[in-house]
Amino acid sequence: MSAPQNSLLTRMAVSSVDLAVRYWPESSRRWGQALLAEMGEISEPSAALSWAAGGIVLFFRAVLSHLFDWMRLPAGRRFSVPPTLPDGKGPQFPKHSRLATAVILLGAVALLLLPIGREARNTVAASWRGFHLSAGDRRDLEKIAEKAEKQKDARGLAFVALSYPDPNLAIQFADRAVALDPSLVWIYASRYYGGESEDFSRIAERLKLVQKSDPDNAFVHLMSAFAEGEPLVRKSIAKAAWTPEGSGETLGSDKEWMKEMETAFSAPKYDGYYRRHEELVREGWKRNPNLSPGLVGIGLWVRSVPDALQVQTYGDLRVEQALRTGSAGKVDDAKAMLSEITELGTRMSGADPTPFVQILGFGLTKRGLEGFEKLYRAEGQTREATETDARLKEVEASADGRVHSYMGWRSDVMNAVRRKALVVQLSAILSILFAVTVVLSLLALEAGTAFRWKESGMGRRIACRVADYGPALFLMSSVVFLWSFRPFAAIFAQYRASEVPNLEGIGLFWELFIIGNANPLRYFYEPYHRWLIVTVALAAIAVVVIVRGLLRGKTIAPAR
Amino acid sequence: MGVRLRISRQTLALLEALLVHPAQWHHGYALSQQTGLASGTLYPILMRLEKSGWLETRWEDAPPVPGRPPRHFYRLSGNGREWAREELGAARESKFWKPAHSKV
Repeated sequence: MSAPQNSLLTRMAVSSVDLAVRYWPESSRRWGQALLAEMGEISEPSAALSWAAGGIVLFFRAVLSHLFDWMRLPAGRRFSVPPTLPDGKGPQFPKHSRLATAVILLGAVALLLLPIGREARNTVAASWRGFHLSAGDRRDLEKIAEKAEKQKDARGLAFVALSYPDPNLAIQFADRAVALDPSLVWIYASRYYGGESEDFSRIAERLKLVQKSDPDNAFVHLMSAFAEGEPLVRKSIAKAAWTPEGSGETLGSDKEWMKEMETAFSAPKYDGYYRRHEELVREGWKRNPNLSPGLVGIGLWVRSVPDALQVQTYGDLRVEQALRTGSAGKVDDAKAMLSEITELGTRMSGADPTPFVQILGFGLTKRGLEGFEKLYRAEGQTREATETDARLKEVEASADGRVHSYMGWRSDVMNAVRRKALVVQLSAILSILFAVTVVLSLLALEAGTAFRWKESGMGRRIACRVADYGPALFLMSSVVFLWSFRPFAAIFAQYRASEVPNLEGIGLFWELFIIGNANPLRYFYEPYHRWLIVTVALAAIAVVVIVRGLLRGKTIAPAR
Repeated sequence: MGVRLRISRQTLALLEALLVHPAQWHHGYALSQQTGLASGTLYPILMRLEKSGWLETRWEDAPPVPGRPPRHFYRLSGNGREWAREELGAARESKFWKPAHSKV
C-alpha cells in the first residue's frame, strides 16, 4: 500500500474492513474488496476510521440484503442449489418461501404472546400438570413475597402463604404476615395442611393462636383436632393397621383429639374463613394480574376444610355415647348430645359455600337425626320418631341435590362448558403438534444439504408438505385455541374485577377443574396408559417396517 | 433500462463528479473526496448505478505497489453520460440541485 499505515487507528480500521470482507456475502463481496483497496490511499487515521465505518455499514447492508434474498427462497434451498427441474428431477423444495413461512409462524407466535394468549397457555399448562405449581409459579410467588416483605405488606405475605406449596416456607410467610398484622391469624387455620411433609405439632401451636382470637368457632377446633388426629391416622396407615371401622378406636383413644372435637361440636358458630380466604386470594390476583389462573385456582381451591373421616368418626362416637346415655335413662342428656351433632351439621351446611363442607354438614345432621330416631323408638315415642324420619328424608333429599350439583355431571350447562374446554384442550394440543412438526420439517430441510439428506422420496415430500401447510395449520389452531378460551378468560376477568366478596368464585374452581378434566393428555399420567401407548406405537412401527419389506421384496423379485 | 433510480442530491453530486472527466476512470476514495460523500453512502450509489447499466467498472490491471490489492475503477457508460446530463439539467431547472462544477 502506498500510504503509510503505522498508525494504530489506521491498522484497526483496515483490519476491521478486512475481517468484514472475509464474511461478506459472495454476491457483493467485490464491493467490499473495492472499498478495502481504497484504504491504502488514506493516510489520515480519522479519515481511515470514517472510511472503515462506512465499510462496516455497507457490510451489514450486504448481509441483510443477502439474508432477505435467502428468505425469499423456500426452506432447504441454497443459492447454489438449482430449483426443481420441470421433469421433476432434482431436489424437491416447499412451494412457499422462507419469508412466507416465517411471517405465518411469527403471526401465530405473536397471537400466543398476547395477554389472552399468555393466560390461555398458563391455564392449559397448569391443567396438564394437574394444577401443581410450576417452577415459574413458585418464582412469581417468591417475588411477591420479597416485595411484600420490603413494603411490610402483611396481606401480600398472607396471599403467598395461602398459595405456596412448600409447607416450611409457607408457614414462614404466614408467620411474617401475622407478625405484621395479627388480625390475619386466621390464615393458620385456612391454609391447607395435607402435605406429606407437614409438621403437625407446629400446626397445632399456630392453631392455638387462632383459637385465642376466635374461641367460639367450631372450624378452628375441628382443624386442631385434625392436627392432633392426622399423625395417628398416618401412623396407623403406615403400619397397615388402619381400617375405616377402626378409626373410632384409633382416634377416640386420644384425649386431646376428643377434647378438641367436643369443643368443636359444642361451639356456637362455624366459620371456615372462606370469605376471608377468597377475598385475600382475589385481592392478590387483582394486584398481580399476570399470575397464572392455575396458581390463583390453587390459592382458592387448596384451603383447609374439616377432615370428613374425623368429623364422621367423632359424630358416630357421639351418637353411640348418646344412645348409651339414653339407655341409662338420661334421655335429656342424650338429646343434648344429638342436638350438638345436628346443629353443627346444620351450621356447616348453611354457613360454608363450599359444596364439600355442605355435604359433610348434611351427613352430620343425618347422623344426628338417625340417632334421634333410634332414641325415640327405644323410648317408644313413635310420633317423634316418625317426624324425625320425615326430617331425615328432607335432609337426604337436600344432600342428594347438593351432591348432584357438586358433581354436576347431569347438568346441561356443565356439559356445554366441558365441550368448550375440550375445544380449548384439543386446539392447544394441535397447536403444539403443528409447531413441533413444522420446526422439525424445517430443520430437516435446512440440514438436508449439510447431511446429504435424500433429495426426493417420501420423507422429503412429507417435510415439504409440512413446511407448506404446517405454518397455516399452526396459525389456525392457535386462533381456535384463543377463540375457544375467550369464555374462560371472560370469567377470570369478571372475577378479578369483582369488588365485593365473591362467593360465586366457586365457579372459578369449576372452570379450572373442567379444563383439567377435559385434558386428553391426562391418560398419559397413568403408567399403564403410558406403556400401552408406547407398545401400540412400537407395534405400529414394526407393522410398517414388515409391510414395507414385503412390498419391496415383491417389486425386486421379477428383476431377479 | 433496468431499475428506475431515485435521484437524490448525493447521486446528483456523484454524477456531476463522474462527468468532470467522463472518459477517465475514477476510484472510490477520489470520488468520495470530490463529492464529500462517506464510503457508506458512496458505494450503495455506485452499486445501484452499475446495476442500472449507467456505470462501467473495472479492476486495476497491476497494482503499482507489489502486495497492494488492485483498486476498482468507475466511469459512466455512454448511455449513462447522456442520462446523467439530462438528470442534472432537470434537477438544475427545478432548482432541486445547484452544481458545484461550472464545466458540466
